[in-house]
Amino acid sequence: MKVDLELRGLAFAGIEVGGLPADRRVELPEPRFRGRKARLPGLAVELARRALGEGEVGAEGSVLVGTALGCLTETAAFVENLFEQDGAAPKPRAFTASVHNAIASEVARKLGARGECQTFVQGESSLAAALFAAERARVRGLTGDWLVGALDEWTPYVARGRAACGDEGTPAEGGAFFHLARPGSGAGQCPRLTELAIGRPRDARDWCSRREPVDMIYGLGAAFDGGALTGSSGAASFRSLREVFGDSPAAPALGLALAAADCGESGPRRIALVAASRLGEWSWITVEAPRS
Amino acid sequence: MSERIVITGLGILSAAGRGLDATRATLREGRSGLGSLTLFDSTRCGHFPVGEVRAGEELAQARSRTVALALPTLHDAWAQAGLGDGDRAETALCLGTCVGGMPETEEVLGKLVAGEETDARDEGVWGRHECGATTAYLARELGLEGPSLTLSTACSSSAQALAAAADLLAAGEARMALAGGVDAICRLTLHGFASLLAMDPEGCRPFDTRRAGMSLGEGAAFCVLEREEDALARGARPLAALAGFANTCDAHHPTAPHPEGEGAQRAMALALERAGWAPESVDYVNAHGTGTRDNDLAEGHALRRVFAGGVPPFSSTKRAFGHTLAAAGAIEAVVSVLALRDGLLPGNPGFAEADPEIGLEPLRETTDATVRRVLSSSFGFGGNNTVLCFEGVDG
Repeated sequence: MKVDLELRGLAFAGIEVGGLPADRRVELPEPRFRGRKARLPGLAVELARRALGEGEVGAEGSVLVGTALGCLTETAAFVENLFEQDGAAPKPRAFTASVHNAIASEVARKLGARGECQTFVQGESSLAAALFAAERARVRGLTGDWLVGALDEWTPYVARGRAACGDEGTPAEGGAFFHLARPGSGAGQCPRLTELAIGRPRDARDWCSRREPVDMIYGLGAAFDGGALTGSSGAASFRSLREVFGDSPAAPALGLALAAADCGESGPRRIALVAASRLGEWSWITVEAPRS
Repeated sequence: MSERIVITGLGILSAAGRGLDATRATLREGRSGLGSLTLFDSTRCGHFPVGEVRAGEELAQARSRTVALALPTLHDAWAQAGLGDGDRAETALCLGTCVGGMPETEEVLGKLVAGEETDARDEGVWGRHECGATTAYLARELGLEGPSLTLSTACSSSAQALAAAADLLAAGEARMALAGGVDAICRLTLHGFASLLAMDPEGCRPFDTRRAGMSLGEGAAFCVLEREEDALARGARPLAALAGFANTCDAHHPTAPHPEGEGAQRAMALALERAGWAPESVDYVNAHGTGTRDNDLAEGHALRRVFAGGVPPFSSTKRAFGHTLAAAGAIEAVVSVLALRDGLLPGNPGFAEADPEIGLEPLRETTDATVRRVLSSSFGFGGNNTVLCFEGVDG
């Protein structure tokens, strides 16, 4: 579907990649249970603040988050402790962080965003689902801006999950947050998101061919035939980001950050981020260079 | 909403049984669905009655308990809507779930912590753990090719899934959508809520002055949603319409609701505004009503402010099913549609004595009435508030 969201700011955490602005990078917290300070919610707050910069999300602003597995560090701490202590001394703080929406709620609470607060847990499609929610809120006329992000962590349990599915994966974690707004006074100065699709197509090439033509496709997730895909979308070039960002379900967020940084006068004007999810879904996000 | 979204099929499985008849009978009789937990040993966290689904081998042999609860429910909704194989390509699935594959993950994690060896079958749980994997499996089983969305906003998840489905339909991204929720009882949630001192050993007593917490439940419920013109064009008979919805955030506390119910009030008011309803036109409110001190008090404040001219008949049906967490919003959507279709105002099992601090009294018993408009509230951890507006349709 067509979307019309202006990308006013971003921040990312995870692997360092040329092209991503270094001043937008946030350090990942250490992967250990720290009681009150849950790992991903704390990271998300930092990412959201950095993405906003001098801007504000507004009291009616919304926080929309994608995460495949949520706060695994805290969830594992709670359940492991249950078995180790035979249920005698549970950790309530770990339990409250185990709720997937804890990440979005914490961002909303710290930044005073009282609009929509949602969490999508759909593997590599989670970011696209969160962006869909932002676009629909725009269409419904919701006031306030949107903080949209996706993040995930890599723990030994993730590695076991990948191994169980016959895919060892390249360990990666992190994610990104984006400050989105309806095009307004700053129109033309920022990249825009212009198209979005999520589906479970039998024929991915046909599904992709229904999108507006782009200059470049950034491919993510399970291996697919980039050549066939680019042929289906005009004469687009193709770049696989799987080797760049590894196998974090939040890799599309890093991919979108890279696409937003890459599109422009010296680069491709329209970039599609296409992710083939381990769960059998496809997502398509088109980012367009600033008009001026 | 610009295009009317209607419900053409329902499926439900809970401690009250499978299907609309069993659910209707439970509501009519004001029965409690709570009983003793048999799924695992929970003696160390105390005895808390739960709404456990007892369906024997069918559940035990499934891929996961979550799938076992969801799949028959999806089939029931699909069948009631009169859908066939030709409809699968344009159907979306919107699922609200919190625990995903956690019940099975816990079994294997217990082995690991005990130093026991795991086999390949055990190791398979890691790949099925994440919530999205449940949605993907269900979509594959049903042959759905439309978008799949998995929402996890704690106890408002499946209410939010219905809203997301309405959004997909309004955006033209699907021709129909299966939307609902599922959660299974597991150690994480039972011990988690026990550690927060949020469960009532007597069983939940929503809005009662003696209330001391919630009662955990499990189950699944799904609705088939379509644009009205599409439903009528294929000869379907709409059961009800989803007239409006809203989601807000308290932005107040990691777990507790805003003490004045500020976010809940905004969600109710916004949902009414989007539905184009005056507050006085609401015939019944299916409250979130968990039975915790904080929730019921905050919800009472919100109800009194939104319905300043007089709070309509309201009740919490949590004691009939237990609090099914992510599935609660969808189960209560089914209750709302039953209220509209069958002309009943469900009672509030567990309620005996009003709380002067709340200042409101729910329906004590189920009664017959003409019901045209229902507002259903679902509130989750972190002050997440989702409100759905259902209205009757002709025919």
